[in-house]
Amino acid sequence: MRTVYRYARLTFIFMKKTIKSMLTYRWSFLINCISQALDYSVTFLLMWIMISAFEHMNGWNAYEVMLLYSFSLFSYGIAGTFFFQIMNRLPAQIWRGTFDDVLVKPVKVLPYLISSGFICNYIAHITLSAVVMSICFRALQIRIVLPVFIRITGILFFGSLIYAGFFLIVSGAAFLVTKINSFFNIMYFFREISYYPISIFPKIIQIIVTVLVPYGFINFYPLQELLGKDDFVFHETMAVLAPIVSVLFFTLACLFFIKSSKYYKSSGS
Amino acid sequence: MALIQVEHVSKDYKIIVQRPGAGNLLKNIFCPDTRLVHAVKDISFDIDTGELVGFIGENGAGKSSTIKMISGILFPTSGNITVSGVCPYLKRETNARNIGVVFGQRSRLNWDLPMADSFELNKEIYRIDSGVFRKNAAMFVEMLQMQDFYHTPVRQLSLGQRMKAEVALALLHEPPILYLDEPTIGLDVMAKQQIREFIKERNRQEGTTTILTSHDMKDLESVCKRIIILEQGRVLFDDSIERFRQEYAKEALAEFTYTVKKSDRNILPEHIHVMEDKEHRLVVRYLLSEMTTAQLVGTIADYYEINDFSIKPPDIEDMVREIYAKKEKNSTQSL
Amino acid sequence: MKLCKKILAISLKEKSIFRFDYITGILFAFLSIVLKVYLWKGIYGSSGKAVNGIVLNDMIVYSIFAGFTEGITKTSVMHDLNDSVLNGSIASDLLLPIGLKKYMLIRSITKNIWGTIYTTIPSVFAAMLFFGFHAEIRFFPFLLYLFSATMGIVINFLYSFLFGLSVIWFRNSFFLSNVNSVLFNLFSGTLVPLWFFPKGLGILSELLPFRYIVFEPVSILLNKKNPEEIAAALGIQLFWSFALFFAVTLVWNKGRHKIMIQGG
Repeated sequence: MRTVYRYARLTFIFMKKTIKSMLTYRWSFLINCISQALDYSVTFLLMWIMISAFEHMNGWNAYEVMLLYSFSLFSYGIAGTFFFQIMNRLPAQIWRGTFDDVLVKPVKVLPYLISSGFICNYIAHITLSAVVMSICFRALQIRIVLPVFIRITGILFFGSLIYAGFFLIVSGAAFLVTKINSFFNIMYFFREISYYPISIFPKIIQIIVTVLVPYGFINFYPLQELLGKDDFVFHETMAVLAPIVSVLFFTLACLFFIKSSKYYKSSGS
Repeated sequence: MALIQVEHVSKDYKIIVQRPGAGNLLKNIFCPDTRLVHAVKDISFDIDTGELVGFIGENGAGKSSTIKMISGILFPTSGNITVSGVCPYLKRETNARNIGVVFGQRSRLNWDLPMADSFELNKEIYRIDSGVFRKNAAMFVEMLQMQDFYHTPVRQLSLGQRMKAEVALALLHEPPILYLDEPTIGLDVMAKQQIREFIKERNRQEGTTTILTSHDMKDLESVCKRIIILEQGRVLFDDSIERFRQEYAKEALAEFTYTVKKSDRNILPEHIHVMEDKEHRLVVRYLLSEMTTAQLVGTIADYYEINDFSIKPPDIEDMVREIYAKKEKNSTQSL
Repeated sequence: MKLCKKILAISLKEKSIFRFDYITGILFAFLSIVLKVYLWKGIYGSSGKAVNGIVLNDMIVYSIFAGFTEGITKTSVMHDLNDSVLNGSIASDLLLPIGLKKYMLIRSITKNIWGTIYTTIPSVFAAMLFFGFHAEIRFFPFLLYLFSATMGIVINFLYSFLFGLSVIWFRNSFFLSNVNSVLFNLFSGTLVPLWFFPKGLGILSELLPFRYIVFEPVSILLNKKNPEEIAAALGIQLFWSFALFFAVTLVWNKGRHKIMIQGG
């Protein structure tokens, strides 16, 4: 418990420092946020255009698909806020040997990396997906009463854990191979699949995103339960499994990361 | 018991060799060709509390690997290390609290924020008591004269200012042991001097044991009491700096500019070797054991009308090379 | 011509360094086509109707050729200009015995030739084999497509060049280039063809050059236009090419002046 408190405190201090240093570049930060928001808005818009023209995609109407997308994006944003920077920095840190600087500190490696990796760059993702979510819920006439709100929070939390797991696996791979591009590509390819109802894809892809890379549990399985859809790809218990899967996946990813970090060779001088 | 004990430590690295050509692509991925490099070969030494030790060696001699092993970053392939009673790589976190580390070529400071912020961060990371933190921060800022730039973003600081901040940062938590890897590289004379004084002062006050690697002979001469030379992963020399100087720092170079040559250079005493003499520029090599700098200048002044002169102290790289060459010769002789 | 060869040789060298990346590059280009096709299958599969006379097979063929056309028309000139102005290498580019526009165009085209031969064509081919669809490509529309796609290359290049020049005045074209890529994604028809656009957005798309880069050439290729519509599309493409050319010339002359006075 004291450890948790310690790293929470450390995270908070790093947050303050990050925001302080970010203010030095407030304009480019703002521009970056606007660009991101625009970019994702267009993706939402295209999704809406495409599905509206046909009324639905395999039984999911435009708002339902957009809801899938916004849940995925929101979770991605939350996970990215704490974990993206690990993946972003680690290959260079390993390659140049600057990962040493982390190892000479009296801290646990992974908690420290999470605390120090906080960035605000995902504010655009999070805000935009929250806006889209509220638009979709209104259009679908779902009232956000307290139990629903709790469920939504739960889905987003466990979804973020899965994304965090992906960030950690790709980062951990950096200790084992020199270039993590392929891991990175795989992660982002399947992320794109998770924007749509996975029931439209061939069985093999459905199995992959359920068992191998559990993207289905980020949004598809829990949401079809929430929306009361009858599009269960495998079995009805999938939605109930989501929290278990996500905690398990995240734990395994952490273990993988810690295990791989033992392979650090401290190259460079 | 010595503070730092290194017993029969070796470190091997596996290096992946890429086979050239497209045909070897899959081969390179699935069964890479590896080669074993012996970076450190069976070295042993002890360092006691309060010692000031200089590490010397060419690049790849095993300095960095040794420092990384005693600071807990790397596991040795074989052998044992104990640093103030704990094994640094097995109890990395405990060990990290006992040490301060500065790597000269990279920064631990936040680029966009003043050093004050990095100090605060370290207070949290090392869990430094508020009173101790305030006392040390104020004292270090005073000692290294950092008042003027304490609140300036680090990216606007000069290299010297930044390095002073790095060294102060590494000592904030009052570690009993300090590792400095090339702390003065590329700095101006003034900053170098301040950093050296600071390290010595901390050693006097707190008994901070310091291990320093440097290519600058002046650093080692002014700070260190003991020198350890590594060459190709082995300890080549481990003794006091006086012994080191006697053994190896025998010759120095001196350069003079002159207006008129009073006499023929052949008459110069025999322990002064002329390396170059043209266009009013004279370069000589002389034995340090035979004459002081003043004597040399006096002697040269008898033969030349001197304008200006400069002395180049013996270069560490040269010395190490010489030491190595000597070893090589001895070993071939013994064959 | 010699210069072209030289530029081509350099970009060849740059590309051949990372072979593993190259293979995964093709794989993911292929997978992204697969993804798009399944999206359309998902949409058509359930409702089964033809919106605006476009059936599933049309959409699969469209997705593949739109991907191909995007591959050959894309350009990094905005990014190149941004870099070369900010790091000052534009000064040495100006000393080349060739106009900057021409130089940048050749650079951009050679890059695309590579991308097309080594990534786009293999992935498109793999997708064709994978889905086994039938596309009726007739000779005459194909000829018109080549012509129209060439103008697409010119329009996208000039447009990007024009907005890329803003770096000379604003010191950074990051935001503009982002806005442009957003507009391109929306209106070029690469992701969703303009057949399905609601009326308002459809009209807006006709006022902007983006649909003339990818969407129009591909619709011509797929024989979805009658002769008058083809003539109109080609005419508007010509208009954009000339209009952008004059705009670029004008702005570039001003920009060059500014660079020469301030030294970049």
